[in-house]
Amino acid sequence: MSEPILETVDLRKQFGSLIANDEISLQVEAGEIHGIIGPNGSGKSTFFNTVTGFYDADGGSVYFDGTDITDASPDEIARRGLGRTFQIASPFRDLSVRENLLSVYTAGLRSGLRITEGKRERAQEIIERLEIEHIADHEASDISGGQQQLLELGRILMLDPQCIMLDEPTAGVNPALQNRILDHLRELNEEGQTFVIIEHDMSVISGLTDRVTVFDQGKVVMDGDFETVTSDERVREAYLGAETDPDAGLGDALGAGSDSSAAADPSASEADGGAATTSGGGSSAAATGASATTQVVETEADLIGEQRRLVADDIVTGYGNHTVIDDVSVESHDGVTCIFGPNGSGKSTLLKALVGAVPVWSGSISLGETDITETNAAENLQHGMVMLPQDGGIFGSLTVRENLLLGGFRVDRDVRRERLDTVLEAFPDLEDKLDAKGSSLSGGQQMMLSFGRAMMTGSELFLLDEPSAGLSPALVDDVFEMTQTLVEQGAQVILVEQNVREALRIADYVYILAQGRLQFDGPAAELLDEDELVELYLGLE
Amino acid sequence: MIATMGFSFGSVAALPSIGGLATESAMVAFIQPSTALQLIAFAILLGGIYGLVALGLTMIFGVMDVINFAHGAMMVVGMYTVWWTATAFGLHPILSIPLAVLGLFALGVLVHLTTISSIMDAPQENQLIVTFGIMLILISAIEITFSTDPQSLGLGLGSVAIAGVFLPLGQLYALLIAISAVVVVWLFLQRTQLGRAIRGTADDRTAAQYVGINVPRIDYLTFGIGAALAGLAGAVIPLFQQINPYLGDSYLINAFVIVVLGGLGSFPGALLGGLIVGFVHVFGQYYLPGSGYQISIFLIFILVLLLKPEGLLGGGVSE
Repeated sequence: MSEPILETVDLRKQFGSLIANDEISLQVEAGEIHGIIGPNGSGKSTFFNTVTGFYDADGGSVYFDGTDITDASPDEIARRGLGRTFQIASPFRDLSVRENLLSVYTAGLRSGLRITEGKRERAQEIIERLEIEHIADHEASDISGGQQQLLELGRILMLDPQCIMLDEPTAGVNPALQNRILDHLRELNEEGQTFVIIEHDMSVISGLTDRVTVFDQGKVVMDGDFETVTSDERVREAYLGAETDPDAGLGDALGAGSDSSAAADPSASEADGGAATTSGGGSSAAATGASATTQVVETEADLIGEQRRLVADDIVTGYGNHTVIDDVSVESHDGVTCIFGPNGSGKSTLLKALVGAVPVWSGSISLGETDITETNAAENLQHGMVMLPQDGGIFGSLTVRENLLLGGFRVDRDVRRERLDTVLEAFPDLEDKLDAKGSSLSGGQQMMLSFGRAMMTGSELFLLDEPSAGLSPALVDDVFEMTQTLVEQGAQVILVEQNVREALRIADYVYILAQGRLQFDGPAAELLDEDELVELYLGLE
Repeated sequence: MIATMGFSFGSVAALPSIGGLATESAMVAFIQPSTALQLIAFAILLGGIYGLVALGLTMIFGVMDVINFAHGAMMVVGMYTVWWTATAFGLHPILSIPLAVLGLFALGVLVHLTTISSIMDAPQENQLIVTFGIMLILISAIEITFSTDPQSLGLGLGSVAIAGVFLPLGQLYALLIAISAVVVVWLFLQRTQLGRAIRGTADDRTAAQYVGINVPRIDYLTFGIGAALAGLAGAVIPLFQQINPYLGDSYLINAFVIVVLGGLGSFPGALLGGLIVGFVHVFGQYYLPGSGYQISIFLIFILVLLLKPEGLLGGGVSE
């Protein structure tokens, strides 16, 4: 085994009580492409920042090329030959592409006074190698996000680094350009360049890396080659959420899901029988759930097709010039429609686009007969669609009662009173807290309040953005129970979730997103094989 | 915030001191054992007005995150509305004060819809500069229309003495009006669904959309109400003080201090801050030489920023 070029030993970084990097020991060998993967918030970018001196380590050490660089400053580390790029490309916007390359200091202050011929030649070489000649004299602010990523790579190459750390170099880059970036990386690697790369896109990781280290909650879960890593149970747990029963595979989880739906069936029919208020969604939802594994459902689902309320076609959206959702079509189905996908796949953005909080660039959304492509979240509430934002989004400085009453902002006083009683019946824990400030509630109670407040709107379609995020395992179950309460009352639910295994227990229909594209679309019953799920989930085709 | 206040400091010294008339007469009439009691009475009278001035400012900030530099100018428009309708049409203040409030509400909504609403998502400096521009426009318009000469209603309301404490009636009426306004606004915010919606929007603008609140509408209502409160604060000032187009500035500077002192966006904080500044102003003016009181106000302001930067009662409008 050759000497590692970059090595960390028990590296620690803490923000307040949050341990972002918990004794990370990692070795990068010269000449390899080393991938770092892990769910969002697992500490990947923090690791980069601590290694490259942008954060001060709280413990442990970093060795680069045999030297301790733990306390070195970022510029010093860069000059030593450890280069890095940032997740958001940050070229000097007012300089041209060529000037950006020439702006790199390679030999201390003196190199800033006169640009040497050698440096100009090096810049020209990089421009040609990265095939950005045609934009060499454009200002960096005028070129596309993908081209900026290329420029970022080029700027680091100017330093002639021994090792380059890349933070999501292909995020938000169009596929053609993405392939070009990857080709350049491979080529450079063949010439001996060492890379450490953070990436969400598993297809990039699988085709590029020699070795992968998996982070979860600030710790190294394992490392190994890509195949070994992705078939490891610990890694699946990091991505898909823990299983309640460690012995149960996904197939069992699905079986259990069907069982519980079957058990819930009588109560659901009861609710349906006695409820003129429900629109029949309850019974069909129960039916869908109860016989999820049988073929009959397929035809039944077609029969009730007309009642599908939300239909989004060919949605494209994003932020700035960064495309997040690329040509995605989804519908709300009776019962619980789940949208899964790794972080950064665009789940939350899709949900926000559906509810009208993020404008869509193209495509159309309709709710029943109404076209709601252009309407905002507040207007969509009148059409019977409500969003529960991440963390609940309750009004912390208002009391629980006021929060609930505001949920009924759009309805008459009498209806409001009536619904308040219904909500308190469904969530009796809120009754004792009516005069408490929202901010004084625990995380689980806040989520309950968020459910209650959403019910006050009288909506028939609920969009839930990771309601179980940040809650303890016991409360996660409560959240899924509350979700089922909504379904029992005749509503449709679109659920975005990280806890895939848990959520599959209540899912009736599943969409899987990866890199802003739909990977899977079908009844939950079709997702029987966990290997298939992992592949879809990680965006491997 | 501090930096933005910095460039206004220079103008303080050049401006007529606030409440000067009342305290001067106090000093002539009462340097007696009951002086402390008398000063407390003045402090409360002045503090109440200060609180009213700060109220509209803190409300606009709490809900919209907009620092309204035109607040003082809107006060001045309120002052001149009362003075002008009284001198030109002989309108009684009982009629002209509500008129000023309504007029300023309309002006606030108009200003918001034509300028601020379209840049709500822009960086905060943009809105700040726009409100600064509105301030200059309003003050210049007043100068052009009514000249820069000091004006007075000349009501000659006199004063009452209660238990040996001298209370100028003009200021007393102003305080009563301020208290009623605070109570009305408070009840509106606490008891009505629209009030809750304003507080909800102040708390979380995104979540407000998700319960069906039309946030842009809440914005212009809030700006209107904030302007109306500025108008009311301005409208009561001619009851006890000479007015000029620049009076708003000196009130505004202290109102900023009050808002930060009490906690940005905090309703009771504005009242508490108003009272504190009222006390420091009145006692400082009595015991310290020259503008010592104004220095004391800023010293307290800096102390609060250093020790409790979120303000004494930091929090949302609803607190």
